[in-house]
Amino acid sequence: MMSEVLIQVENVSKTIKERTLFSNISLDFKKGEVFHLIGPSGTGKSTFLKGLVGLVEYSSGKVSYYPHTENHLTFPEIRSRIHYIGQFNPSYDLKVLDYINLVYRLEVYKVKKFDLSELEKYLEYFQFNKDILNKNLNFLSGGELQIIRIIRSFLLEPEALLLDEASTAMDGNLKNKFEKILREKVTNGLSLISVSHDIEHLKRLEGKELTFNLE
Amino acid sequence: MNVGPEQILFSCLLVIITIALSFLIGLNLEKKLLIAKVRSIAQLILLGYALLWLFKFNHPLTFLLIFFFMILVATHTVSSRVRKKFKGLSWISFHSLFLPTLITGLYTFFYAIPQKPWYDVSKTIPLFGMIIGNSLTGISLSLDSFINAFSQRKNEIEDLLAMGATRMESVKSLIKNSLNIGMTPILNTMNVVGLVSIPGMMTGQILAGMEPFEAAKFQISIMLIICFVIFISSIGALIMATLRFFDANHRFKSELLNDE
Repeated sequence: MMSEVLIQVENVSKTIKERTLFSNISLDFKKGEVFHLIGPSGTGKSTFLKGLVGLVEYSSGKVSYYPHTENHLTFPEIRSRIHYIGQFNPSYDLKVLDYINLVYRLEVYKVKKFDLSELEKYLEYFQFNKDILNKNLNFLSGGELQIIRIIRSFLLEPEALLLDEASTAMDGNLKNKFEKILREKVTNGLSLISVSHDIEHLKRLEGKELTFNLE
Repeated sequence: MNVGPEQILFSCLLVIITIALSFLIGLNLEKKLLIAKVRSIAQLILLGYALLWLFKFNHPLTFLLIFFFMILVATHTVSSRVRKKFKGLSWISFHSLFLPTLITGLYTFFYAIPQKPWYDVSKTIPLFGMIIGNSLTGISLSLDSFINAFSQRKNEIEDLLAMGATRMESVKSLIKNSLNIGMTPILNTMNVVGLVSIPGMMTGQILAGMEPFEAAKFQISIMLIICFVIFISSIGALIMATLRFFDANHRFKSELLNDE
């Protein structure tokens, strides 16, 4: 059986102020697949990734979501299935628990129920003290916050993750744990596209490579 | 009681005192003080003559003409008070002023403070001035804080959108905050009115010979009307700004903040 296509990209290009970042990229992103976007900085990897869920508009080309299904999905619905985790951490003046809870109030997740024991399982896995839930988001280290964002995403069980430098601020121990759990999720059917400068990190998670060059 | 030329001269004596003091203490404010004072004197004298002349043409058309003129000036003021400029700012300023003040104004002249005829220029224009002036302050404060939040809270907005928030969901808390900022002055005024200060309009009416209780009734109506118009015009401006900065695909057009 042919595996389901999540995102079908046809000939997309992006030009910002007459500078071409990338042109004519086509890609079929299927269920269970892993892609690594590689190439020097300034080649538009992040922009391309953001564009996959419509957070950036491509200059030309076409993007279709779940092209083999009939029903048309809105962008909030698409983004609730395909989570994009950007490279810039948000700085809400909120406790970690409230930050996680914030998304459960969104219309797209109204059928999801927040499960504290599930959350605690993840915290334990990453060897975080439960007290972290009462800490203000702004008092976390960059790596801790990246983990919290990943946990929040895992709790909502997306079909795919788009990660942009998601582990840059983590220390070695956290990075290893992160890769291990990511591998587990991928084995269980999670699709993944990642942008990372960390070459070692890439080698450990097998997948297809998409290279970006300076135009 | 009367203010004649001699009395005005007495007020002018106060000008000389402030300027002399500024000079003696070395505040360097003399020029600014003088300009501000000459301007206000000239503007008010002109306003007096202009109103005197306009009141002769007591006609709905006069009313509409002045209304449009005031809206245009207010639009310009709002646009200049919002510190972060973007394409479409004037459009939003104009539309958030126009309908709310017009509807509130007509409601006032027909029902809340009825005029005969409804467009009676000598009453409606000063009342409109108050309505537009307050709406202008509310819109500038809330819109300025909202647009500022767009650039300072960009990561938070995109974090929510990326998780599947609609554009309205992604700015809900920012709208709440900005609306609060826009409403604060009127709420503060309403809470201390009569305790600390007597409002300008009421003072004027009492000085002009109106009975204090009558003047108070006017002031109550005006205050409630102003509170209403600030609220709806600010909400209107914030919703229009949201639609301007987010497209139908719930994408945040942050690039708008850069091309001024």
